[in-house]
Amino acid sequence: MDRRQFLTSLSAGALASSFDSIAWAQAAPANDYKALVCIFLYGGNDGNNMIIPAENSAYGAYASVRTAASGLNIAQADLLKFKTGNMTESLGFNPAMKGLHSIAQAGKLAVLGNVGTMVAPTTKAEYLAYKNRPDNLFSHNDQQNQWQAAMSEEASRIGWGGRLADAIAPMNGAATFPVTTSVAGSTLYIAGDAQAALTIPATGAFTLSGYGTSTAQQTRLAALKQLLALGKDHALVKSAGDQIAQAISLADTVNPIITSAASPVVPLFTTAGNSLATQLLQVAKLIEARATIGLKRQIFFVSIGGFDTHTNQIATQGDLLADVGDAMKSFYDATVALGVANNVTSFTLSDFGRTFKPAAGGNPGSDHAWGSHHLVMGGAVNGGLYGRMPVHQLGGPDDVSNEGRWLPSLSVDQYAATLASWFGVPAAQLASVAPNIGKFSTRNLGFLT
Amino acid sequence: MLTRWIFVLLGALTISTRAAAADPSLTVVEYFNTALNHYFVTADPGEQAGVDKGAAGAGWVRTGLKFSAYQNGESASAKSVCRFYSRSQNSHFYTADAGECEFVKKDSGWQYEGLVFAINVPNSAQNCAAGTQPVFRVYNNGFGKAVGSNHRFMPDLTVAQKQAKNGQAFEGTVFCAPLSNTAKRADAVRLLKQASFGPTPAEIDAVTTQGAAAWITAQLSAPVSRYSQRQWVIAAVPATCVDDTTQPLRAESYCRRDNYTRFVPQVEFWKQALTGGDQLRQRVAWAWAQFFVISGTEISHAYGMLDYQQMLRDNALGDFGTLLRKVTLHGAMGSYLDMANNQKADPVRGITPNENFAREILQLFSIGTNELNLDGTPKLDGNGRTIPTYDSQEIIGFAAALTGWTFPTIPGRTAATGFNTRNWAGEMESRDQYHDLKSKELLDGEKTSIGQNAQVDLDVALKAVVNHRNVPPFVSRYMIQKLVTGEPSPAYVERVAKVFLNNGAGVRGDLRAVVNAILIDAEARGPEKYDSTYGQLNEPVLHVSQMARALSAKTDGQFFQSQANALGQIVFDAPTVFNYYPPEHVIASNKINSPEFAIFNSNTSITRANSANTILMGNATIAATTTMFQSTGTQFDWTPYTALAANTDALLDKVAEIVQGTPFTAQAKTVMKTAIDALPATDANNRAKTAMYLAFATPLAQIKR
Repeated sequence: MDRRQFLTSLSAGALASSFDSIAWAQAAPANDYKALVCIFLYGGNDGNNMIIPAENSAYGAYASVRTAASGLNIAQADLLKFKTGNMTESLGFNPAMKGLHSIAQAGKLAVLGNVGTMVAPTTKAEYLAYKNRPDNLFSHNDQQNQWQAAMSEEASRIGWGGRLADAIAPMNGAATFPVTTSVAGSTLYIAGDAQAALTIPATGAFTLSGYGTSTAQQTRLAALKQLLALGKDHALVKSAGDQIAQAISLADTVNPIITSAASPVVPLFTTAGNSLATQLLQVAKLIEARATIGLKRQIFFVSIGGFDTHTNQIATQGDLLADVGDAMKSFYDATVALGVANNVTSFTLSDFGRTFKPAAGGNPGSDHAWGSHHLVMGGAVNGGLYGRMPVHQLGGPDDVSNEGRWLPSLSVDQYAATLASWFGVPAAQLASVAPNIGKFSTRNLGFLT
Repeated sequence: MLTRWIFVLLGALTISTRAAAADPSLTVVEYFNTALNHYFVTADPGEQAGVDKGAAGAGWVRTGLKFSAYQNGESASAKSVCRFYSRSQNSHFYTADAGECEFVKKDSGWQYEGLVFAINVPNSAQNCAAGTQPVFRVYNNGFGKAVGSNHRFMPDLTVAQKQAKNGQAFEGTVFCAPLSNTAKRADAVRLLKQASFGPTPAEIDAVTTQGAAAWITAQLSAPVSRYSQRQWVIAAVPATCVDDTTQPLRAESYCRRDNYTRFVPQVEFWKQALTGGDQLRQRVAWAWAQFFVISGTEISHAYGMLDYQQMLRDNALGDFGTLLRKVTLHGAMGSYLDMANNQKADPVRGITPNENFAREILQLFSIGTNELNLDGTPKLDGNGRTIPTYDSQEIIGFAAALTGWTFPTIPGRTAATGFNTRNWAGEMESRDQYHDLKSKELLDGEKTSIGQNAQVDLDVALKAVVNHRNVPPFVSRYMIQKLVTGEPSPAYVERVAKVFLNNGAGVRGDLRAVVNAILIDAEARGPEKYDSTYGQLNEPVLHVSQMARALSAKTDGQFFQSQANALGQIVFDAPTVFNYYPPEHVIASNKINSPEFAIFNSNTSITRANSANTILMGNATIAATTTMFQSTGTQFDWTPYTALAANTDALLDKVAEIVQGTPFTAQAKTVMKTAIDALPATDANNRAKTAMYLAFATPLAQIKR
């Protein structure tokens, strides 16, 4: 990337002051490596039943709404309790998340209490007066996009992972490998202005089939590649041709890495049928091959769906959270085995939280809401609670409705900015990643060292 | 019948060897001069050669746009076109209107240059007759300005309207350019890509003969293909229901697969999509299946999916309100979005009515989240911000209004007084004891009356939705995106939305009229399109179906059911109610709204090329399977291509016609030739396969434009 391109990429961040950035945007030292792994929980995970207050008084407030009779209660005795770092009261994991419990107890997991999409710091009174409302709250696709873009007004065509990749591109020096990789299909999070993302399959390789060594086949392959460079005066032809060409050119590098059965991390992922674990294994293999790939900074995206639990929530979410916990535990163990636990930070995002009040159905569930709890895991994490748990009261101070839709205590912008700071983006440049961070006084939530 | 015409024209010899009798003999070529910012057209080959060489001064380059015309006297119905030149404006003007011609002749600022070609003209309603395409006039409003007055004459409405948005005047249709037979075939190919599961050689002939309008009309009335009906099955697979592989198979051999998976719906979808006569209806039904989404990941039993998809097909070209009602009440949708067995608030358990269906019927199935203009663009408030169509209280209102419904009674059983056992086929039934009797807030402040039963509240709620002002643009834009182009012009959306509002007989929501309006629109029709963002990436299902139909596949569907899964669009298995990809997806690099690119990435771009390898480089016959009752396998007909395979140019022209309607560019042809000519001229099969593969593995066939 030349300087002009670099300035262009930063200008996409709207508020970035490009000239100051030259100073920090040097190639990273030789032994420096950091990776961010975004774990998206599609459908809107019910944080209320993922992280539950464990102490008697706070649990009592929880259980006064999510009563045993409601069909949406997690029993206090079943909670996997932990109290680390800055926490003054114990919290409890959903009992399905055994894998994460030990990591939390070891202080390598931070809970972000009630984080959500925000336009600016907002009070309940302001919300009720239609001030500072994110666009289309409670809508799946809009809120997914806002979490992934760190922008809550108007649509963004790029995500904050992509913006972060653009911003730190100079740290990767001359490496040409894509900074962002998705193992979960195309997604807004990794779309940037300057950086084309790589998307790899969750299992197996992406190999162009039908080509042996015969002259006819090789001539056909050459023709295929040449055809992809033609007709670029039509924008869709260009986009499609560029995409296929990129895939063909990267396949030779990536396929041997992601199909490696000899990798020492393979035995750590013994979670058959867990699609998130399968994806994280691919990420671990790519991290293992970081010297081959040659990047100092990498951003990964994985996902698991099915969290839209309008009905039958206890069983459905329990299964999903077990997958999440087991997969994250395997992945953490893999980073330890690779000696990069302190260099890799994983974090969850999701559409939104869910109503604290149960919703009707054969077995009840919950409806779309706003703020929710999220998890950050890694050797660089300062375990504890950041932000705060909401007051578990329908129509209470944190509820913008009567069904328990929490006004967030932290914004996605602050969440993204903290991760970007750890990645190496200076405070003055954070707006190139989270364009509205200037609206929030705390720009580093402190959950990473 | 081929007729050989020879015209000696202004010193140039034009030989048209394949033209039908009525083929126009002139091509009007458009030029643009960047320095002047002026357009110019000429049908005179000698003048074209001169302009190309710079005889008209520096800076004139062909735009690529062109249309056909007659010589004067060549066609009895065509009007001669007067050409004028203005020295002061340094600009040419053309008119086919004899009165206007005489009028301009009297203007001393314009110098009459003669009758330069002949062309048809639109009727008083600005419509062109079948077999012709409209030519539009755009005026640059340049009179009295430095740029000078200049009119552009061109055949692409999308381009014309974009130009008009930049401060120029769109002056409507001024000519109707005759289409050559080749051009008619190109438009037939485009229509078949828009309105069917892909062109077949036979269908290209049929559309060319009938004309687009007549073909569409016939398709709108074609007999409806039918999915098989299957009996309701109990939720858990009985121990007796297994897959028995004993040969010969019986109809019920694969009990588990055929009842408890999507195998049968998917196989029947592929068979009927590839071979059915009601191509347009099936194509529109497939679009509705991605609008009113239920997913086989939850509605996994064949009987329910078949019943739902048949319902979409039966109502695909009917009344929108009826379609929405049938979707709302279908047992499969009731299960998928939790309207079935939803109930009024229960204060004892602290439970509130489920909002799932209430939210998605508004957001996805009818009006969307933001207020729209009739042209599909968002309405904006005083601060330039979008305006929400509803807030939380409306969702809560609709959720309560739609309580009190349960699954359809299973055939042969007695209806339960309370909630019925789960049944994914048929229409749900009301149970008023579970219905919320309060007054509910609907749209625009409308409130239901207190105490209405479930049926009345449902009628009132659906009426509020169906009659909302957003429905015509929301639905019209979606269907245009599905059939024609990902980023339709606002004017196109508005023309179709107006037909949604009124089909011409005062009826709102007539989908037959809406689909017809989409397909006959000038932004859909025409032998060539010139806008650099026009069209779409074929969705994976269409990528596969177009390959199969290019080879006139005969199939039992099984081969395609097994092939399609790798492409990121498993039929009837969308990941969520938000479908495989969102209509609003924008390509990050160029900001173009192109939904199908949302699932096109390094991985799927390779799997698409690989599906071309499997289907096109594989065997022409796929044997019947021993795992499906009465399997007939799949047979491809390569003969239209192998017959020409010894002649590389002829082969490539044939392949180009079916994949894009028009010949490949010289560059693309040169590249493809190297690969084909690496094979012996006698190896007809592999030469034909190579040509077809290279088209379908690349944007040549994957981008429809």
